[in-house]
Amino acid sequence: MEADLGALVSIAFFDTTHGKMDCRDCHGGEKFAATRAEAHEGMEPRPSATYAESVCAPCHNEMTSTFATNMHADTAGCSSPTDALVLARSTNDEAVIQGLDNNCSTCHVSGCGDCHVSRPQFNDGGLVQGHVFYAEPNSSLNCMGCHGSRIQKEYTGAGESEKTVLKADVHWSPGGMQCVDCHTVEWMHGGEEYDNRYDSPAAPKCVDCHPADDTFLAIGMHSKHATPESNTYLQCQVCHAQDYNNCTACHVALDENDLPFYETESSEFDFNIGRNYAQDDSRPWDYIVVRHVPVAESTFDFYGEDALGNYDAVPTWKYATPHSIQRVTRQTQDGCSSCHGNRDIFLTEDDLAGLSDLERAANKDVVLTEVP
Amino acid sequence: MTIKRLLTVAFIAVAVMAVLVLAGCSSEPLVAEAGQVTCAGCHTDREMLKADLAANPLPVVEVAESSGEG
Ligand code: HEC
Ligand code: HEC
Ligand code: HEC
Ligand code: HEC
Ligand code: HEC
Ligand code: HEC
Ligand code: HEC
Repeated sequence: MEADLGALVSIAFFDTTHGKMDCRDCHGGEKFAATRAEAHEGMEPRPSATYAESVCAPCHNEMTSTFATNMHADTAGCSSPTDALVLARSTNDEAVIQGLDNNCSTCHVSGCGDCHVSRPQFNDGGLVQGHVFYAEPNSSLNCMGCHGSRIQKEYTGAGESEKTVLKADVHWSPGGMQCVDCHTVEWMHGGEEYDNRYDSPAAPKCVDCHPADDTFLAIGMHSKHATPESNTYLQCQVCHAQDYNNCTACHVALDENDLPFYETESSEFDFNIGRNYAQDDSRPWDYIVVRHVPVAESTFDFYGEDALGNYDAVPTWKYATPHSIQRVTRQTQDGCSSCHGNRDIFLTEDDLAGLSDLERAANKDVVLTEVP
Repeated sequence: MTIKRLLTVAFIAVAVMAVLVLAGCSSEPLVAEAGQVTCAGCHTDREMLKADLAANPLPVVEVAESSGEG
């Protein structure tokens, strides 16, 4: 967004509750000035970044006080023991935490404004509605400003797979469902602490909207594989997700000027069914779709040799909920045999070829030795 | 939102606004004194913002080049 447009405040703003306040009440700066530089002296561009201590707190206490427990506020989701993208693999916590702080915190939200006022600062900001505060974050400009490489590409059908032609998720088109239709205010504002980004009690399940009624069970595949009573119970996405993004080997480091950067070796749209290594009451299925995450043995080597020495502690093909739902997919289009006997769509030895012993060990509970 | 919450928010809002007004921080002047600028004066005028940015470009923030997707 051009800088001038991103900074343009609409006249309509002054008719709103927040627009009745003085700019300086929130942003600081100088009241009497001759130039931009003078006016901006001591100015705070991100007035909502301190949540409970911010200028928003006196009026929005209920939201600012719980926000710190939201995963958007820090990197807890990467470092907690159960989600454990990283910390469960660590043999050198200090080095890894340093790397997380330097390289991973930049894409977390830098205040309420990232969802309610401007595009995310991670994307260089820019006012969305001429500074008018809006209750409903914009799916494309706010949420997908940060959730780009997976959710945006999958949900809007912008990804490309060598194996199939991808369409948008049915809930986006024709459904027109926005991110906040499922990711509600209770979820996005925090309040309930949970370890894993998939564990929010506010998260909807497919069956909340598509109950296993007679119409559902009239479909042969559903009665065979889609109910808790099924001999083999498949996560809905095993049949209904299209290919989704998988990334490999991210490395983080600082350049010669001590500025953080990352490099991912590759990313590709593909689809893999794995064994459910994380079966529990909320994830009862026998088989799930799995996504390769970009953590490598050497991801944090810049910060300390062998920092992820316990690389095999958790799988690198992780439980996934791709936002790429279609009624018919390449694993169901020709009936049962689109899946049965189709080795390519299962996570097998073929996919592990060429990987280190540690990464093979990491995925021992996910990989299938024989495909059905 | 429950009525009680709504009333609480409204009450606090009114109280805060009152404090702000009493403290002299009333809302933003659009027009400046001669030789001066105001926040709202500049930020509501796209041509002014453009001209100012052309005359005084934003400082270039140094970032290292990352590659690939996260
Ligand atoms: C109620 C507090 C509040 C008031 C009053 C307010 N702002 Fe803001 N402003 C914010 C917040 C919050 C953001 C979003 C920053 C972020 O994303 O963290 C913001 C963002 C901005 C941005 C965009 C920064 C960017 O590039 O993303 C500009 C420009 C701006 N404000 C100017 C003004 C001006 C001019 C006024 C007075 C007319 C004003 N603000 C009044 C809270 C306020
Ligand atoms: C002086 C009290 C006050 C302050 C300070 C304040 N707000 Fe508000 N805010 C309100 C009130 C009252 C409403 C509900 C009525 C309205 O939208 O005019 C509201 C509504 C909102 C809404 C919903 C807008 C809508 O269209 O429904 C958002 C989002 C919001 N505020 C965010 C913020 C953020 C972020 C900050 C800090 C930068 C902030 N507010 C500071 C009083 C305040
Ligand atoms: C400034 C960037 C940014 C914006 C804007 C943003 N997110 Fe996120 N989001 C993240 C990051 C980073 C994480 C990873 C948190 C973790 O795992 O520690 C995340 C995690 C999540 C999670 C999983 C964790 C949880 O809270 O349960 C969901 C769901 C989510 N985001 C949805 C959304 C939605 C919906 C929106 C728009 C309303 C949104 N995000 C806006 C950066 C962002
Ligand atoms: C990750 C995105 C995200 C961030 C960050 C965020 N919110 Fe929200 N907020 C939402 C969503 C989603 C809704 C519900 C929108 C809807 O369904 O209309 C919402 C709604 C609101 C509302 C409307 C009232 C209500 O209860 O629905 C207010 C006020 C608000 N937020 C204030 C804040 C404040 C203050 C902060 C910072 C502490 C904040 N928000 C941070 C996503 C976010
Ligand atoms: C919040 C409610 C909601 C949730 C949760 C939800 N859906 Fe949907 N779903 C809908 C609606 C509404 C439509 C109809 C969209 C349209 O065609 O306009 C739909 C359409 C579909 C369709 C296409 C149906 C057809 O007739 O073509 C499939 C398949 C589907 N959903 C599967 C899923 C799966 C799998 C999940 C879980 C990952 C899920 N849905 C979660 C509401 C929901
Ligand atoms: C074993 C594969 C399989 C599984 C598992 C599966 N589905 Fe389906 N589903 C299908 C097939 C096949 C169709 C019908 C496609 C067609 O119309 O040809 C279908 C159709 C649907 C439809 C459209 C219904 C209609 O009346 O046309 C919805 C909605 C749906 N599934 C939701 C779900 C949900 C929710 C789950 C998980 C609880 C699920 N499915 C699990 C294979 C599956
Ligand atoms: C998207 C993949 C997929 C589709 C579609 C699918 N299956 Fe399966 N099926 C599986 C998997 C995975 C297993 C479990 C194999 C194992 O555990 O060894 C399985 C197991 C079975 C089994 C043996 C165990 C059991 O649950 O009874 C039968 C029989 C079976 N499927 C029949 C069918 C029929 C009939 C259809 C079509 C209506 C079908 N499947 C569609 C993936 C699929």
